[in-house]
Order: sequence, then structure tokens, then C-alpha cells
Amino acid sequence: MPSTGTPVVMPDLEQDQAVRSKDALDPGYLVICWNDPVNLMTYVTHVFQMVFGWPRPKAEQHMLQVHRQGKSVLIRETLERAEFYVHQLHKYNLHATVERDKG
Amino acid sequence: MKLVRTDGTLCVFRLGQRERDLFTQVLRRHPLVPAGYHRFTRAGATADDPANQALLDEAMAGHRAEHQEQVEGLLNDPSRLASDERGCRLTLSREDMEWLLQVLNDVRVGSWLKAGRPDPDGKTTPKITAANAMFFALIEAAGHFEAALLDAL
Repeated sequence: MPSTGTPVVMPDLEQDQAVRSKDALDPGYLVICWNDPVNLMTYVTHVFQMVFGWPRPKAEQHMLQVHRQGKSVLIRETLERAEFYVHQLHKYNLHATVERDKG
Repeated sequence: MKLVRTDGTLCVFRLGQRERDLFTQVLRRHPLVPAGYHRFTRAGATADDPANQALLDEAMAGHRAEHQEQVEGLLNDPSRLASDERGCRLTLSREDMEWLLQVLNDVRVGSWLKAGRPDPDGKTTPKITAANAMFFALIEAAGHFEAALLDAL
């Protein structure tokens, strides 16, 4: 009776192909922050500085746009990056969404 | 909540007795923002919106759990929250201050939702009742501590 040998696992020689949809690479997604009367203006400015690494004047400009116009387009990115940013904004409990740029 | 010392890495705050109790009560209220509150998109961004929403909900649940652990860690760590007869000394790193801001704002936004979304600039303000009065107070209390942290950053 032949002995049972240890199975040999051969490495997968086929090259993995990263399958990324066209959508994932399309920089046509907007991260929008919507006005929320509860968030402090200084807090929103701080969050924009932390999440996007913006200097204070740019962060304040977007914060004021949110406050006065009800929303601000913060950045136009690929879907993957837009998702990342919106998750970061949600961690701070800002009201933010990803929208398709139809412009 | 007064900043008494900072070396650029650590900030030391002094809280009086009542302020310490209020700070603890505010933190113990976390999490207040309900699961599913944050939406991935409004108008629809991709064909995978439901999957993206599920991913977001999962990520937020993870953040809430992590923050709860951090809150417990802070409240039970005498090296960071040292109580004495006058109140307490709160020693925070920049990293601590960042997650603490997120926790405090969860309490502020969650209280705002439970209070009926009052808008100071809006035409309608929810009536303050015995049932929601506590949430109006929590909005202010959380905002007070947020402002102190933001001033120090």
C-alpha cells in the first residue's frame, strides 16, 4: 500500500489581474458637505483641515460656503478616494455624501 | 475646562468638580448618533450604492466600538484623568484630542437629533419638554468641551 505523501502546494503562477471597473478610476465623483445647524463652525473648519490637509483659510472658505449656501463641493475624485474622504467626514459626524459629477 | 499647560505634544487641562462630572456624563452618553444615520449618497452615485452604504454602516459601527473602548480607557486611566478634591487634571495627547472631538460631536449631533433638530436660524424650534430637555443640555455641554479642545489645538 503506498504511503500517503504530504501534498505539495504549487505556487499560483498565473498573474493576478486587478479588475477595476471603469467607475473606480473615473475622477468624476464629488464629495459634498451639507449644512447641519448643529456643528460648530470652528469644528467644521478643523475637520476640513484634518481630513484634506488644507490650510486654515481654504478650510474656512469651504466651511462658510456650507454655512451660507447649504453645501460645498469639497473635492472631485475617483470613487475609491471619494469613499475614503466621505468615511473620514462621517467619523467626525459631518453630513457628507458622494455624488456623481454630472457637469 | 482650562488649558493649563502644553508642550506641543501633550495638553493638560484643569476641570472643576462639576465640570468633571459633566464631562464624564457627556462621554458616558456616547454613542448617540443612530446607526444608519449617515448616507453614502443623496442623488445616487453608482450602481453599487446599497453595497457602498452597507460598507459605510459597517465602518461606522467599527468606529463606534473603537471609540467606546477609548472612552472607557480614558475614564479609567488615572494618568490621564487624575481626580483630586478640586476636580481633575486631564492630560491628553493630540491623538486623544482628535478622537475625543469625534466622540463629543457624536453626543452633540445625537442629542440634536433626539431634541428634534432645533435650528437657531430656522422658523420652527421644537418645544422643550421634560422628555427632550436633557438633550438640549447635552448639545450645549458637548459643544463647551469641543470648543475648549479646539482652542487648544
